[in-house]
Parts: sequence; structure tokens; C-alpha cells
Amino acid sequence: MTFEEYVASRGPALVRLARLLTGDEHRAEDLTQDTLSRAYVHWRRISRADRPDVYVRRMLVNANNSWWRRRSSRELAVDTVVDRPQRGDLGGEVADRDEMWRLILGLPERQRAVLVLRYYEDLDDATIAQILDCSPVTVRTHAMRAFANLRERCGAPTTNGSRP
Amino acid sequence: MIDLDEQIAQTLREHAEGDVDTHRLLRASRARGRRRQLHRRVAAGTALSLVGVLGIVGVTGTGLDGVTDRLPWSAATSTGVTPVPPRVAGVPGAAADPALVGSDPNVLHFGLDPSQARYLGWSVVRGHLESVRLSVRDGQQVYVEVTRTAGDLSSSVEFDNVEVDVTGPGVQSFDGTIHPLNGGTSGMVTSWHPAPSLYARAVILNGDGAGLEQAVEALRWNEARSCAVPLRLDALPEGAPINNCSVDVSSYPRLVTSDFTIGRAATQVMFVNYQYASGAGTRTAGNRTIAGRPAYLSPDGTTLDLLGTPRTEVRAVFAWGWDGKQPIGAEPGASSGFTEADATTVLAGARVVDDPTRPQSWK
Repeated sequence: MTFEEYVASRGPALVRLARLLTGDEHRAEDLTQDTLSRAYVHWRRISRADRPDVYVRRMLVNANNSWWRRRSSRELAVDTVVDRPQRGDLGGEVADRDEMWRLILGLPERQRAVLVLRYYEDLDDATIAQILDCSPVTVRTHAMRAFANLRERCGAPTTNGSRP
Repeated sequence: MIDLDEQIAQTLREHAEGDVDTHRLLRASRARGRRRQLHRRVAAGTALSLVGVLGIVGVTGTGLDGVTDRLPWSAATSTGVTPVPPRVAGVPGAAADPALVGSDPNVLHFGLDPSQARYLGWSVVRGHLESVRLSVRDGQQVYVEVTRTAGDLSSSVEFDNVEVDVTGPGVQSFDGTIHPLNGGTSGMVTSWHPAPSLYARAVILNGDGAGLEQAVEALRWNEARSCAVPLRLDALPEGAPINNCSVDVSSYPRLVTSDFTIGRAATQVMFVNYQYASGAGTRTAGNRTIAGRPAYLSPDGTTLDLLGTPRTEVRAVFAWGWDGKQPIGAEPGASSGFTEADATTVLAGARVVDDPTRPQSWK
């Protein structure tokens, strides 16, 4: 697969992943371009990897983490979430999702990355572990902590549907 | 009431949505990739005066091109003997004659104790620096470079595509103190004088101070080693010497790469890239013949490949396009200064080893 073919087929998915990792449309585009520009330089090697897409997604996650590390503080603070909407109506559900989005953005990088890779990309823990360069056990730990964070902050009940 | 799983999934889908302009993404990524490639090559070996001419500031990277490209989980981890650059008889090490550092692109003026560390790659940039990438302990990667001028040390290093800032408070003291890396990155850095008037820096990512200390202890400053590569360039264009030699054996024996930079008149540069991949095929279909061997000139007239060697690519990049975004100070469509005839000269004199997994055959 050439670099051009890869971008044509997977570029949009990378941008969407970046939107969820960054929470910012412009930053997502920049992050994706930055990642793909690095991949371009090494494409001969990457294209020979068993799963080039896993490798590029790892680059994207790493690049996002590096970007955050260069900043002294996060712009979004979970503690600022106030005015929790009433549940049970359509407007309330939309408001719930807005609140959930703010809570997800407020999670530590790795926890947020695990949630995104698991619930949006629908990847298994082994693949997520490859992308994050950690063990599947660590992936599950991040996921559990993310869940605990979200439950605590949004007041959601414990559900049986949550994946372990 | 929807459960938390579904709420998360819905929320993520909602915020991921939106059109993506794939053509713009490809154009921009490719343009940035080409600029990045140029920066790496400039950092790797072009006479650094090119930086001044082109106005490229803040050049990062280390010049050990390829080492950073190691595919973390798919690359074969070498289990046998890995290449070690051979000793050069009669040439003193950096400790005995610091002025030799960077003086010859074919010679490293320091080495490693192979019982304490393993070579992952090496590089020499004429007139500037020598570097080695190595692994210690449980495969922790360490990058070491030495220069005669503190300003020539790299400001950042790449490990597996993570760019690490290696500057920061205390790092410029060259007193051997180990500092954590800047910006919360997990790793350590230390700077010291291995000999009077020499400046060295070692960086470990995701490793500890003990790993860094072991790497520093493994360095040998009283020996000289050849910048051995599986490709020898016996013919060069007139007035265009080799300025940089670098080798990556981090994925040996599955993958071996090497890069040369040939410079002329400070601002003119040609790159020769070698790559051996055990799983690759053999290209023979060309549109040129060089010294009786098939060769292929790219449609855009910027690269010339020497074909016919099994599992091996040898490419001369003698021109490049700026893609409308040339570096500051460079005219649109600026020339590399080299021609197809120059590349033909270089490839006609290229001697490629048949089997790079026999390092004793390297030149």
C-alpha cells in the first residue's frame, strides 16, 4: 500500500480519532497532518509492518501525548462542570452527552485514549495495548479508572453493560 | 436511562463526526513530510551551513537516520551477534586527540564495550558530531553524541517517533549530573566532558538513571572504529565528498539501513540511501543501465535506484521539489545542485555487499 492509498483509505478515520483525543477540530487536523508527515518519512518501513494502521495510530497517540506534555496545564478542568441537567427528557440527554464529553476530555491522557480506542474504534485490549505500548492488564486498569472517574463525576449508576 | 457504556459510545461518535477533506489532508501531510525529510537529512549530514542558507531554524533530530524508525513490536529483535563497527588500527580515540571528532565521516572516535551494551546504530557528521545509539539492560535505548562545540549537540532526539526535548535547566552544565527529561517525559539525560574540549550528551527514554549510567560506563573513548556500512561508494562527483555516514542495525538481521550525504559548495546536497529487508523482493525492471546493472529513474526525475541486488534498495536522491512550500530563503524550485549524471557517477561506483547479515563483509 502506498502512502497515498493509506491516507485515502484511513486518513478520515485518523482525523476522527484525533478529534476525540484532542477535543479540538483544528488541533486534530494539525495532529493528524503531523503524524502522517512523520509516517511519510518512514513509509517504506511502516508499510512493511504487519499492521501499519496500528503503528500509525500509535504514532498519533504518542504525538498527542507529547503535545500535552509540552503544555503546563490543561485548559479543561473537570471540577468546573456545574449545573448538571435534569435527566429524563431529550434536552436532558443532549446535555448529558455534553457533560459526558467534558468529563471525557478531563480524563488523564491514557484513560481517555483507552476509552476512545475501546468505545469509538472498537478495538480489543490486545490491540489497544500495542497502540499504547503497555500490557493488556494496564489497558484494563486505565479503563476501570476512567469508568470510576466518570461514574463518580456524573453520578451514573453502576451498570452491568460496562466491559471489564 | 441509557447505561454508561452506551452514553460514552454515543458521546464519542457525536464528537468524532464531521467531514474530512482527504485531498487536503494528503497534500498537507505529504508537504510536511517532505519538509521533515529534508530537515532530517540536513540534520543528518548536510553541511550545516545549508541551515543558515535555507533559514531552517530549530533543526532537531540526531542524524542517526533510521534508528528512530524501528518498528517497536514488529521488528525482529536480534538474538545473535549484531554488527559492531570494526576497530581502525593506528587511529587514536577521542580521548587522545579530541580534535579528531567529526573530522572523518568514515571514522567514529569512540566505541562501546560490547559486554555492557549493544550497538543499534552509529553516525558521523563531518565537522560536527559523532553519535551512537545503543541498548543496555532490558533493551533500554540510549542515544549518545559527542561534539567539539556545545552548540552542535542536538536539542531534541527521537525515540520510536517520540520527539524528546533534551535541553533544560542543568543539562548545559556538563558535569555528569543525571537530570530528568523536560516536560514530564519519562527519561533521563546527562552531559559531560569525556575529554577536554569535548562535549557529550546521553539520553535514555523510559529508562532510569542506572540504565543511563551503565550506557556511559560502556563507552570507550580510547579507540577508533570504522563507520562500517554494507555499501561502499567508490566514485563521487568532482568536489563533492561524503559529509555523513549513518547506519541503523536496530532491527538486524531483518532490516539494515544506511545513509550517506554527499555535499558540494555548502548548499548542494545529494543523499544515497541503502536498505536491506530480509522479506523484500528483487527489483530488476529499470529504465536505465548503470555500469551494466539495471537502474530506475523516477518519473519526476528526482531519484535514481540501482536495481538487481536481492532484497536491497540503493537510491540516490539528487533533486527534490519543495511542493510550493520551500524553506525560508530558498527560491521556489531551488535545485539540489546535483544532476542525474552525478547520481549515475555515484551509483556506478557503488559496491553493495551481497549479504549484509555477514557484517565482516561490510566496508
